[in-house]
Amino acid sequence: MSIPLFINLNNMSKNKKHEVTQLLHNIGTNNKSADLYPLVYDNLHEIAEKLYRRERPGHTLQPTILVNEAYMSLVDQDQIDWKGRSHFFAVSAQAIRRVLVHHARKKNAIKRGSGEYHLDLEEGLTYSVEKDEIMLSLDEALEHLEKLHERQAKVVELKFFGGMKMQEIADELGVSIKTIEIDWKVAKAWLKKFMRSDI
Amino acid sequence: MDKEQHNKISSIIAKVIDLPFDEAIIKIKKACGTDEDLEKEVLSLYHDIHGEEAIEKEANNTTLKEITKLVGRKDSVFRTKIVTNWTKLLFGNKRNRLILVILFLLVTFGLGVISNLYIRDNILESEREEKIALLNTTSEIFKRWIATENNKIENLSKDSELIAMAKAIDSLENIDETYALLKKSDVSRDVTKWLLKTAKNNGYAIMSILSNSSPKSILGSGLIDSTGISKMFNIDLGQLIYKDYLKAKNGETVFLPPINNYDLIHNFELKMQDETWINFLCPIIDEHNNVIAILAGSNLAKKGFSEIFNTSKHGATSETYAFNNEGKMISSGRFTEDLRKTYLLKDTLLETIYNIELKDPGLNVMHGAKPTLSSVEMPFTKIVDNALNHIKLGDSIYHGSLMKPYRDYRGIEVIGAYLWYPEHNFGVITEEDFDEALASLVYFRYTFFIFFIIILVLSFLLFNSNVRIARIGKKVDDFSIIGQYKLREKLGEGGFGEVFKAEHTFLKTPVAIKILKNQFANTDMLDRFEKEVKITSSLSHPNTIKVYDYGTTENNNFYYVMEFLNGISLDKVVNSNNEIPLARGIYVLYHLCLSLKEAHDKGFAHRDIKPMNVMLCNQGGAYDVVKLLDFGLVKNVDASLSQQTQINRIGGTPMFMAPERIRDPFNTDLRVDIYSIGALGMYLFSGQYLLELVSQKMLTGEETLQGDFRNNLIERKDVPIELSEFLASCIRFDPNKRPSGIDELIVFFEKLNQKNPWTRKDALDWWKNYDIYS
Repeated sequence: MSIPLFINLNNMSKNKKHEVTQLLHNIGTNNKSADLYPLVYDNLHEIAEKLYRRERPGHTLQPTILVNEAYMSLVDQDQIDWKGRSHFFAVSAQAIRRVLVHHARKKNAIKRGSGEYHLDLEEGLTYSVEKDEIMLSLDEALEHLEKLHERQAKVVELKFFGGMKMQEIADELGVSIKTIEIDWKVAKAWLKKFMRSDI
Repeated sequence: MDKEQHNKISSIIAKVIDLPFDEAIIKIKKACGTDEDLEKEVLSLYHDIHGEEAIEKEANNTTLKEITKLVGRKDSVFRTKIVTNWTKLLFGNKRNRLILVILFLLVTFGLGVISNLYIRDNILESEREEKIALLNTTSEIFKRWIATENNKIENLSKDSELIAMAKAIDSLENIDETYALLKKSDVSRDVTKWLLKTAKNNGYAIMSILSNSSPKSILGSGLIDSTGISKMFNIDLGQLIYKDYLKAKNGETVFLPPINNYDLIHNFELKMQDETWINFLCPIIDEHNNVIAILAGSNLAKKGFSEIFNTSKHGATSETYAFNNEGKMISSGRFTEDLRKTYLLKDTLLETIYNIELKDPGLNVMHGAKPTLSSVEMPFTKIVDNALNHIKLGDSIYHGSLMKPYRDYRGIEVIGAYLWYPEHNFGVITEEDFDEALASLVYFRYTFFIFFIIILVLSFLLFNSNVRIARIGKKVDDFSIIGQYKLREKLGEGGFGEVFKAEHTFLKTPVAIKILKNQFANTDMLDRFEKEVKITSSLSHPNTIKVYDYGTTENNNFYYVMEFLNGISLDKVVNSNNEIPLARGIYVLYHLCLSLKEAHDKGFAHRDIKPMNVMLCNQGGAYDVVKLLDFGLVKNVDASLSQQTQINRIGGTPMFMAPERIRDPFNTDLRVDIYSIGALGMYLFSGQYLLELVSQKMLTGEETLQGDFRNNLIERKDVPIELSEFLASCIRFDPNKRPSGIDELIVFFEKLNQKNPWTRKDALDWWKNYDIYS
């Protein structure tokens, strides 16, 4: 039974690849983010779940690595230009954030605010089981920031979860790199401050 | 906190973020005015950002590695800071380096001198030990010789015949002090006969009988006259030997160190050769234990006695000789032959024995030089002086050594040791030329000298290589310097090279530097680049990017320096979510054509017009300034090859490349640019590449590419038909069917531009949304 299932899965992923690539390809003409998001989310969720199953204390996973893995499995890179690539990462950043937050919330929704921790946003976060709660509080802080300044929150999401470069974020959001740099700096400082006071 | 305040905070921070800390704080305070909450909030965020930036600056160094790879000096090792700092301190500036090298040489030299002294001391010490050992050996031989000789003469003195004759002499002597009776008696002939016979048998040159009452020689075996008696009958002995005579008279056997005839015999009248003798005196004792006479045995000093000391010659200059308390040499020296050529021995037949006074002539006399002092005025040689002084003092010090060089009787620097025999009243000196003693030191000095020269040369090389290390050290610091410019950050990367933001070292003006990846295989290529850069730099239209400078990096990578543009590439504008307004598109095309005109007038095609090569810039508040980049540069490099790799990829250059240029990469027809402008225009207003447009048309039922398909490529309704038709005419495959020249394009776009103006306000509005914090 397992063999046909495997083949089936393979076919499925092939189909998905074509679909995602097509969607990305047409981004320029009309925004298909809504169609793309569920596909990317499912894939990331799948990848993450696989990792969570083997989860053990000290086990780490980096969201950016997950996103890159998703990119490899979902996108035919020869068919895509920088625009499509950066858009995929933008969508993935959003998706992985949801995946990680969902997992953390499910696991230890009660365990909150237990002690001090250091969050290095610059590192792109090495996400570990122990950091579940960081994830939750970061998510919450980001939600607050979104209300104050949507683009700044987006920049953090793209950089932190999507591992995108400044220039890529600037291109994705259609603003200058200088704008992104300042957004990132202000947002980072604001998040730190917020999370400190929140704990 | 609300949205508005957060925006305010963000824009205040944006304004101060590049300022120095202190200035920034002042500005923040000023910007916030009386709003204390705002100020508090801004400051708290700013402090956090500022703190992080300091850390980031450190981390930035690593990104420079990338630059290094391209600029060259990839061999330079990224050493730890400490090492670098040390190296810098030691080798960093020329003075330090020189000091280091000199210090090193001084230390080496100092070590050399110290070990030289150490070795010298060692050599001299072993020389001293050797000399003392030699003297001890010599002295042992001498003592045995004395013992044998004493024994021999003592045995002879016990001869009964001799005793009987001595008794007779003694009695005759008592009767007649003038010895007249004795001379007449037969006893004297008998004694003479006995003496002659015994002397011959026992190896004495002369034997004599001395009186027991006064220091006189009564009978002897030398100079026998016709009467059968020695001419030396009844002669007084010299004063110098009285002491020894008295010892013999008191029953002791005495050895007399060498003494000359003239000193041996008082008032010597006979003509005798100038000869030096050693004598043994032995009392002749009767049965009542009275000394009745003294038997003397004499030999020339140069025979047996001298030979004892001459056995210990070694090396080229070591000499052992005996000396007496008058400071005279009393054995044969080894340099007799040489000394005969000097004033020291006036007569060629003279022996050194007794004729050499051991005095310091003050200079080397071996080569004919004469001392200024007379020998009376000269001091004894140091070693003799030393020995005689101790004797004079009577402090019982009978040996010594001088390892500090002093002049001997020849005036040559020597070292030596002496031993004095108080019982015989003479001493032995052994000396060696200082130069010979230290011959091995000379070898050491030569070795060291050569060694030092090698070190000197190595130091020089080291110094030079240090310069190189230091230079690399500098490179580690300044590897981001190209020509007059300091690389700052990477702006982008393309197929041909990388673009960096840089600034002029002194003026601090920002520039962009493009460094080409491919190294030059031949100078032909370089020449062509040079030519192209020169042409490009001659273009001065405001819509053309300015090229300031060019050159090659240390890695042989070609680079050129351009105006730094603060802006966005047309490609990105088109790809943003909003489609480009018609007026803006026309505006861009119009200005591109203006830029091209200058080049075309000079007969120079751009050959690579594409959205990526067009920038819309903010130049000091002038928004949407169009800039055309990359004029004619680096296009010829294997265009056909890059064609093949890019043709299948969306976004590649060929989308804007005239077909005749794809076929012939070296085509320099100006009309290739007209095609590209057309393709670019198509792209601006459709957001799609020509190829895609065509394939879409094909998919939607167009069967051929004949007819007016070109005119229908743009679907936007706001694009006037005359524009899409004009653009379509630009992309005709046949260059002859395209507009004839750039002027035609300018006229066309100018007219359209006037009809659809893109105002400063329009541009400003766009930029406000793009570069939000500016």
